[in-house]
Amino acid sequence: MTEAAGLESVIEVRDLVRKFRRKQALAGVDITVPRGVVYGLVGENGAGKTTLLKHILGSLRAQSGSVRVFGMDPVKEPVAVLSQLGYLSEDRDIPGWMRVGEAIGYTQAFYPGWDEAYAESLRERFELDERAKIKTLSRGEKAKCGLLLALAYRPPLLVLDEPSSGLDPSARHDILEAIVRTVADEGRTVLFSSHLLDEVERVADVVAMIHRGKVVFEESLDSIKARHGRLLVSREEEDGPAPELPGLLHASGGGREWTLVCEGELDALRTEATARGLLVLEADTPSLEDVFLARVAPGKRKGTAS
Amino acid sequence: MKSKYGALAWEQLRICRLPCAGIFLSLLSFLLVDALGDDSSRLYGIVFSPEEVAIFSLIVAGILIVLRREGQNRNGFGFQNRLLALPVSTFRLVCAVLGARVLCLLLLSGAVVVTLALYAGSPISANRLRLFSQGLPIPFLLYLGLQAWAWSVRALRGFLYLGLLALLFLPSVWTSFPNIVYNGNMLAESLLIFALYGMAAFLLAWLGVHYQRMDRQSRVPTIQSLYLMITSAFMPTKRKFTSALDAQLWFEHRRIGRQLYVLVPVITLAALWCSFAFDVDIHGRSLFYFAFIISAAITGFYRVKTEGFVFTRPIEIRTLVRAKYLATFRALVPPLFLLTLLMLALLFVLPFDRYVTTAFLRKGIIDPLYVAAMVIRPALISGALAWFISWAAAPMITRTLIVMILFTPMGIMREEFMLLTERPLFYSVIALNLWCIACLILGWRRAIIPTRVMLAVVCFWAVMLLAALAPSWFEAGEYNTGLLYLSGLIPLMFLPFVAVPFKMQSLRTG
Repeated sequence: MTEAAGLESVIEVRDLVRKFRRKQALAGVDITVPRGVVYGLVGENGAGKTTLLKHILGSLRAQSGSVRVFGMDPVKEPVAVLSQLGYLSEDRDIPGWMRVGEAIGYTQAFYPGWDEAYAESLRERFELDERAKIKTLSRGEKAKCGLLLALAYRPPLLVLDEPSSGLDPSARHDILEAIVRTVADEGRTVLFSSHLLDEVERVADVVAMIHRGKVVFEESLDSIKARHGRLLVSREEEDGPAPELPGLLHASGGGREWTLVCEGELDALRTEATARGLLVLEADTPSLEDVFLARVAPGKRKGTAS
Repeated sequence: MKSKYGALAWEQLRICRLPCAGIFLSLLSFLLVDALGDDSSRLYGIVFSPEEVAIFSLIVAGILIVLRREGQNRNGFGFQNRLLALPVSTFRLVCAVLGARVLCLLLLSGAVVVTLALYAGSPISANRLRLFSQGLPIPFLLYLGLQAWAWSVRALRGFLYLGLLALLFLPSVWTSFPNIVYNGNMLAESLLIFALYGMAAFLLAWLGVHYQRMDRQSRVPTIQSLYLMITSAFMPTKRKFTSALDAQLWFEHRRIGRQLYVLVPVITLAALWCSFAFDVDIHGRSLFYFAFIISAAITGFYRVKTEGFVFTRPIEIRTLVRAKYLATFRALVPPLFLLTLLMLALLFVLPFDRYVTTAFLRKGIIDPLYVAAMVIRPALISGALAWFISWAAAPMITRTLIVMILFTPMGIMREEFMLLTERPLFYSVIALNLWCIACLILGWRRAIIPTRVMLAVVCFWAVMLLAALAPSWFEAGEYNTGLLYLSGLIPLMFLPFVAVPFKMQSLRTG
């Protein structure tokens, strides 16, 4: 399943199952997060990303299967796990009645390794007023404050749930990517979920895609790209269904020109397309978003004509 | 649904149906108790007439409709932003929303009138119905006024303070209102007054929504911003904590604890104002206990809940729970201490108490039993009750409270409190004790309750149970009754030590 499993792992999730009444949130999830990588978790809304992260934090007990973080069960040993983990939640759940300075002081008390100078530098970098009440902050500022609280004790594992949500593009580029990369370069591990696939593509080393509670694939970004190809083809017939190719995941277009996203090596795909009488106009590796849409996006399956 | 106004009305009816149904069911239960019960089923002999209860329930329904939450964690107090974005003129929008809400209240009042007519029997007393119908417009006018105020207060914040001012004069208006409106043959004038009041309320509501649509914000500061302005001047923005417990204790106290300090004087002042405005005689001594216990109950609903943020910090459940206990003590002890001093002062202030105290002092004696009965005993009882009720949101406490409420009328409220009637209560107290101990041991095994707490509580319980089960228990009368309550009260006081760790554990792991 995973090429990352060979490395020393920080998180190991095996056959994790979670049901909320009738809704199957997770249906046998297996992931392995190796030490020192930036691990991106992508999936549609309701795919099960946040549920999986809550299991990793110990906020949910596994109904079936197992979760290990640093070799420990986060439900049985929450303190040991959480003291090595920095977390930024999707809904930025810092109490609104706190001031920024109070939130920093409060969080500092739980972590002996709190780096006061680093916290202050982050606060200045994020331009956060320590007198400001959390509830008066904008969504982006709340995200920055949450990020500060998660980073300032330099945890070996950083878990970020939709970290870019609410951040403007410059903040995303300058702050999030820089910080995430710095953390990874220091040999620490980052696990983050995101809807923004271009951001995942820029930052992540390993990507896991979750669809309807199952991991569709979990591998390095290079491997994903090497395993998929995108062809812009032309055919003689004006009408008819989308052209067929082995490993075809998604076809879009209409008439004579079609764009095909397929699973397989690019050269092999090109040869196969030519053999089937198609004229290959362009052949390149698809973006992560193309792969995502081809694999999981509803209503975008094979043969969509535009 | 083709008509947009129909869709709006349908939505409002859906919003209002829950408070209306709840109020109607409460009214039915009151009438049932009134019909089937005897004097002992009525709380301390205070009996309201069904008509008064019907009017009161309509008023409550109106308030609930104004305060109705729409969606999770959303307060429907103001006019919803979503509705403002609909392609409907403001006038029609306000007409549709307010009209649908008033229609709900009308339907409820219709159901109340029919129920009351059925309850009163046939032929129904004309005088009774006439009196009832005289009071019926009052809930509607109150609702209209309150709703208009709620919708306009954001844009026209001056009404915030005007509304509070109006509240001060409400009782005198309230008491004189029926006389002004229904005095002999003044029906036409009454209708005119009603119509004018209704129009004014509608105008205010429309203006509020109109301004909100234009994104006009009042520059008058809110009470909350005034409070923030004052507190920020005195409070440090950065804090240093020596330990996780220290930080969590600060967190709990800031979140819930210090509200009690505000609530006690506010409730006391409100009760004093009510007694003055409505000319109701309130016993000075019990007023403060009442305010203290009610304040503890109000804060209790939020005390056990912990923000999800806390559970992502590396904190032991035991530390978290300990911080909650300490914060509760910190919240309860200072008001209780002040309360005790106040009670002591009242011995020299209240006329009758002063007479007795000075009589004692003239004789050169201070009777400790008298002081204990007047000061220490009520302080201890109210302190214990406030402590217990501070944990009202823990499920185990809620269930116990329900059992207590169900059992209390059977036991305490009956004057003929005999040994035979004590028996079910006695067995339930024993069962409660055993249940608590079982949970305590389970919590200890799961390492969420510290060993010393477990041992201390079990030892105390064992002594109390042994005393309660002593042979003399089944023989004497009053002494055993006291012991029964003591053996019931003690586990209730200790119940939070069992209930809260379990609640925290379940909150942490979902």
